[in-house]
Amino acid sequence: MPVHINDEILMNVEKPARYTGGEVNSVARPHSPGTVSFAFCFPDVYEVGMSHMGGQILYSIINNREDALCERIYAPWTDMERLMVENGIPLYSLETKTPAADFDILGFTLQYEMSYTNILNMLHLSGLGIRRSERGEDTPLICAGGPCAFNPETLAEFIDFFLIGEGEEKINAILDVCKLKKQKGLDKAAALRLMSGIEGIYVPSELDGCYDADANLTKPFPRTIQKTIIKDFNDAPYPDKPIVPFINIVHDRTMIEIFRGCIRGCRFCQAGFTYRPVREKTPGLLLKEAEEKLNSTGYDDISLASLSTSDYSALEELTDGLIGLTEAANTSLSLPSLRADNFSMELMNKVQKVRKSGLTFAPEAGTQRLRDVINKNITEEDMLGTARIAFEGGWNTIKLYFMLGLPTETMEDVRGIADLAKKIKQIYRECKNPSGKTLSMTVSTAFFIPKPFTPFQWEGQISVDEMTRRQHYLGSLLQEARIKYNWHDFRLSRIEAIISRGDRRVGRAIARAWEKGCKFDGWADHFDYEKWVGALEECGIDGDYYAVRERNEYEILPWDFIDIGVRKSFLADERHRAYLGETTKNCREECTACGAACFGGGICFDRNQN
Amino acid sequence: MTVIRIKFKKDDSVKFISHLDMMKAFQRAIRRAGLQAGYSMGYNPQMQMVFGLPLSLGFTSVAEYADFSFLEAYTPEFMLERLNKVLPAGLLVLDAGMRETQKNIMADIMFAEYEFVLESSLGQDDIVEGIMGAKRLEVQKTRKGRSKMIDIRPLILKAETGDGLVRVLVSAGNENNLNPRLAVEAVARHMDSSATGRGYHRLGQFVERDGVMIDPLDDKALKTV
Repeated sequence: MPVHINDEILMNVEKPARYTGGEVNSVARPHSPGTVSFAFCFPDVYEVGMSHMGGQILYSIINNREDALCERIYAPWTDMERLMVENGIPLYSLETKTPAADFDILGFTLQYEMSYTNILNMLHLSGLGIRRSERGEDTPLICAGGPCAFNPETLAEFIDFFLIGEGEEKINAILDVCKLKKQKGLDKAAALRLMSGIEGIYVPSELDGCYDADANLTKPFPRTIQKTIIKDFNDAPYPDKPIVPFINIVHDRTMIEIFRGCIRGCRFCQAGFTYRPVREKTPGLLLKEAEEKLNSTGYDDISLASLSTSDYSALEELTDGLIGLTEAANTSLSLPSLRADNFSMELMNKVQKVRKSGLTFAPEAGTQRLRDVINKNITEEDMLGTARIAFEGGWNTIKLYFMLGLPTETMEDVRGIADLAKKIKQIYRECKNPSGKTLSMTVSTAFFIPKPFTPFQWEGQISVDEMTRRQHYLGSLLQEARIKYNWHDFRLSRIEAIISRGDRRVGRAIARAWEKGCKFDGWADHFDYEKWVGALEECGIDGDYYAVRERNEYEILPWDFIDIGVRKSFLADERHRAYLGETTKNCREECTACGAACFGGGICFDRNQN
Repeated sequence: MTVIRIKFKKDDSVKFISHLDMMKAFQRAIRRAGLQAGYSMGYNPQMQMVFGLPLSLGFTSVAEYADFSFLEAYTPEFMLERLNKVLPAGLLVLDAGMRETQKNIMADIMFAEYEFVLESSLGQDDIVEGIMGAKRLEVQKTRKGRSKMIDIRPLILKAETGDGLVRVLVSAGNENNLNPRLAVEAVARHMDSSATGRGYHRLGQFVERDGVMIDPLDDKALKTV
């Protein structure tokens, strides 16, 4: 039965259109016994969730099936949550206002660790138990996927099954099992046994026997689960009619995903390893996709999505085609995540006839030594040269992104950040900027967070004291006119580090934190560090053990049973190279035999054919 | 440049879409429809469209108006049909006509008619009589953080009841605009403190020609100023 939300409630919340649905290209179909109902659940507020491409992809795949339907559920903001609870309204879907608990299956996307409490909160608002052990046969199956699912153990006691890797293909197998469950009246255990036979699916109850009552690992993992990928990205389904929101969302434009994976191998970057191998889509297919999406949405802005735009091998051909498509139609084209080089500048000059956005560099580290350690192949010369061309071309805003606390970082490296910023400022002084405006520079730092499946997965995060010390030092060096310094909350980085490399014990602390009222932890005004510290303490968890401790390379890591293709020994070798300051060539220059070729597709094979 | 004035309705399902977001929804619909809209000149070209009186969040309406500019000489009927195929559910163009003057809809609107449910311990008829019989109806109006007392009685041209609803014809536009919510506040202030309104619905917007109130799609409104 659909829920009814009266006007009185909607008149008293911020942005009521977050909760009313009805957007162009959204699909509301009747629920029926013959239709598997899937609720795509995004554990954050509407504007964030609607900006997520993966959700749109799954939505379109599922709704293209006759025997299945997909609806969306986002986390209600706290004002709406309060009114829903007061009025006895359970969490519901936007399309048909169906209570979440009435769906056959709920699928959560794990985009960042700090949204985990929101997952528990959404289960609770649905009237469901947060732990799988608390949910009976008449409740939906709860699954999760997305980038953070590569370390699923943290959420293993809450989620019925995980999809590890890319879901486009396997979502159909999942729906088939759900359909069978529905038709044959299978119980959850039987359905999960079938699920575990699907490539890339991990059913955590399988590993329950490896843990003691306190969630300590007592036995080795019985089997590994290999991630699933779309072997040929040209075959990857895309939504030809993406949903168009009424209200402004974070990425309010149409997007085309030009390739998946990254050739670079920056040693701190999880996506750079977990999405291997690099797989591109041809420019011809992308132009067709762009045209279809612009026509079906009416957006006047299109952007390219990938981990590094500049590394698309046919970028010039693609942008030329897109310029042709957009200029006549008063459409602007955005090119995010370009490398700081001359080619990029020429490209931007060509494209930016319509709109000039700011210049962004992400050198991540302030000295060449440290950039070599992290394998960030960008030189100071590149950046200064690009900045000069950009300033002479009329750009006057620049953003610089760095990380503090990277392995081997010294105070000299921290000073290097300020030095680089000042050099860029000096270049602006030397240039004749045609706009005549003053420079506006933003320097942002985040703290390094060691992530699973990176060469730095064994590293310790620096202590909270050390974080403050380095941040204050950099702050003192950046007290300059025209330079604005932004930094991440070190307390948030600390908790994120604990969860990122967490295990089932950390999962229990997440539940405790949620019980204490934690939610929307990724939002600075909602994050409550004291509650988190209390939750960890009450669960007997030493934060330093998870965040600061350097792991032994022989230690069994909680995510060791997940196989991303890239071998653990390769990651260890990369770590050793990092300490020697040796960089590693990118996948296009040279194959480093990381292991990702096991999937039989992508750049690993393009190279061999050349 | 062709300027077409449309009359459209805003249903229950989209009543929580703000005025600005609704304008954006129309812009995107025009692009989806493949209609060649006129754009402003300059650095950041904007689609040329002017809407009538903004509708408060939560109100429904069967009488919203907008003027759209097109590079091609579309007939109003053609444009209406193309647009209705791609508009989000809840927005529907009811009528369209060629505007031949320079006066845009926003500058032209002088009156608006609303109906709503008035919940009160007094009878609706008594309230309507009270409104029409009052010499002054003062309410506190807050704008940009400043509040002042204003007399809204002169802004109410007509008030009547029927089918359990209160219907009012009020002064509208850039000056002397009256939101019916304010009229309900006046009732609460002067007649019955428990009075509340809900289900606000706009029935009409009107322009004035030769001292007569007419529909913005009336020939006279489209062709004369």
